[in-house]
Amino acid sequence: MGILARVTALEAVAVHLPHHTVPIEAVGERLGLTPRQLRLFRRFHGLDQLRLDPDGKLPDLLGATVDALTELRGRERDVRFVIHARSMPVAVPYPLNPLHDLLHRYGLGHAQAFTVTHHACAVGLLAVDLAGRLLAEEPDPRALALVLTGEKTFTKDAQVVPETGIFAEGAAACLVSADGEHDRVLSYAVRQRPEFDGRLAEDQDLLARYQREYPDVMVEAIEAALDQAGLDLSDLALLLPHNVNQASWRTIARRIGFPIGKVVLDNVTSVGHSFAADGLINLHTATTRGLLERGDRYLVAAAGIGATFSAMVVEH
Amino acid sequence: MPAAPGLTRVLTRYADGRSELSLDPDLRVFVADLVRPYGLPLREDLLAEGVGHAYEELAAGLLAEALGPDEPADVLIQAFDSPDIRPGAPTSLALSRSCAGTPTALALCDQGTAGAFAALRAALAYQRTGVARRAVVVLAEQTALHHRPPEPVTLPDRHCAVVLVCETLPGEELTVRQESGAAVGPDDSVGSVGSVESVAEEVRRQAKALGEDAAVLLAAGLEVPGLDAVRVPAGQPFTGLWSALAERLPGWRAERRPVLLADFDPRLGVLSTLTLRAGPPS
Repeated sequence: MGILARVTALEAVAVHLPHHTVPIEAVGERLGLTPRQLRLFRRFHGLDQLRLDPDGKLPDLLGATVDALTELRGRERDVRFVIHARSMPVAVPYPLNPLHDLLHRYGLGHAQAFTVTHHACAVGLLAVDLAGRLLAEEPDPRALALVLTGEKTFTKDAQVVPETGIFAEGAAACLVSADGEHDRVLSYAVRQRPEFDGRLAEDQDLLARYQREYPDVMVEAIEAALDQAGLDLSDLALLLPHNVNQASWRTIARRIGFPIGKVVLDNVTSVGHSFAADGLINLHTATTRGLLERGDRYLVAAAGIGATFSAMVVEH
Repeated sequence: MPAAPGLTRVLTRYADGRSELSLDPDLRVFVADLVRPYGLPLREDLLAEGVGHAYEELAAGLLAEALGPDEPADVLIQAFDSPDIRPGAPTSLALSRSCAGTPTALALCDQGTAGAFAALRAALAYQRTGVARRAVVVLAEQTALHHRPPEPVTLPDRHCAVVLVCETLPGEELTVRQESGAAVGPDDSVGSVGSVESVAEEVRRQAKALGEDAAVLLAAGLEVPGLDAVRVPAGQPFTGLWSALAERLPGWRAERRPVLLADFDPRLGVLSTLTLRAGPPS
């Protein structure tokens, strides 16, 4: 994606993690995973605990996420767009619309609210980029967009990626401005491979091809984002990955020669893969742990089944 | 004359019958999981019979017709309101392979009938920020809902897809405006577009601003008394307005008439308008 006249910025990020922590074996039993599959997830992929809210529905998850974003208070009237970045194109029975129900609860009834989807778990980066482009047309420099991420693990496709990862229900919210001082987006690159849309669980050949090509396309997106930003890997203080597993990031880090110690993998074990929220959850972890200093550049990388690979370079 | 994004082509296609995918067992699994927490019954009759159509199948041919091989698109935005019979599938990515340029694809939903306008707004944002010279918006709706809805809904009478082509050309003018129930005015006052009267007044104001020769197209259910307009019949809640535009746009462009489209989604309280002026003939 191209250069903006103004620079999209992440003004504030908040995270909501459900209190319920479940070992992957408990979830695996419910999903019918075999002991061999669970061993693969724990030993090879480095999964351990998942944050889940078995009693809550999508409105509860989104509401708790907005509650956590204290920086929104008093700025509600500046919010022009509320965008749910959602992996699953359909998440509640039609015509229920939890996103719109949320608007009035939080004084955002004036904002335009919609969901962006079809990038699967890479859709969080799409939402941030689109928010910046929509805000670039707003004459008021105070204008903001609220990007929400977080989903329910309601069906098998939203519970497990065969041989790859298990989903969790972490959520995150982000206030985006068109020209802010906080984390400034320097570039955003997308690579799409629709030939990988299909039944990965049943089509072993498709799964094998996807697994084989995955690192190449992910690296291609990372390199494109770096090129667009005029940077190279040595300029990055951190890589904020998706939380699908650790193994794929060890492979990619080795392939591109990036120190694995600079890949924030903590939440793979303690939170789990939370759809499109991973990048924001990991940014929150990086900032609260003091891993980023003013001026540091970092890259957020995401991949979505179907398949979309995205990378965004940001300056802290 | 500076180049600017405009809406240069609109194509529509209705379809009857069903897609074979309506019998895919995955549809039943997905919908059953979707409605379980809400206690809603499945439409076992529709699932057993195989009713409904796939958005990808509805739109693929139309896309190929809308854009020639030498007309690459940079961005493809699919918008929908009611769900596809492949509700979990990223169909916009598949559709991106039906048009030249293999555009970056995405989808937009959850804004009722206003979602079509929001998709155009996003297309404009991509064009104005230098990402896309040509963007396509795909709208689709199909007749089947495979569960009992939790509240009354209006589903379309027929399956339909619409393709809108946005191109950057000299002299084009395209503006999309959206206001919600409690709109913030320029003076920070909180206005309301929630009442029938205020919606009609706003549409009248925008029509007047376009001039006496403006062609006005009103979505089904939007009442603007006293306004000379084409009123779209009910039956296609998401695509009807745009199918009507597809029929009339070539004539209006040839006559160089400015165009206003207006739609009000009463459930979500969103008034959406689109104004269009064509550039000089190329």
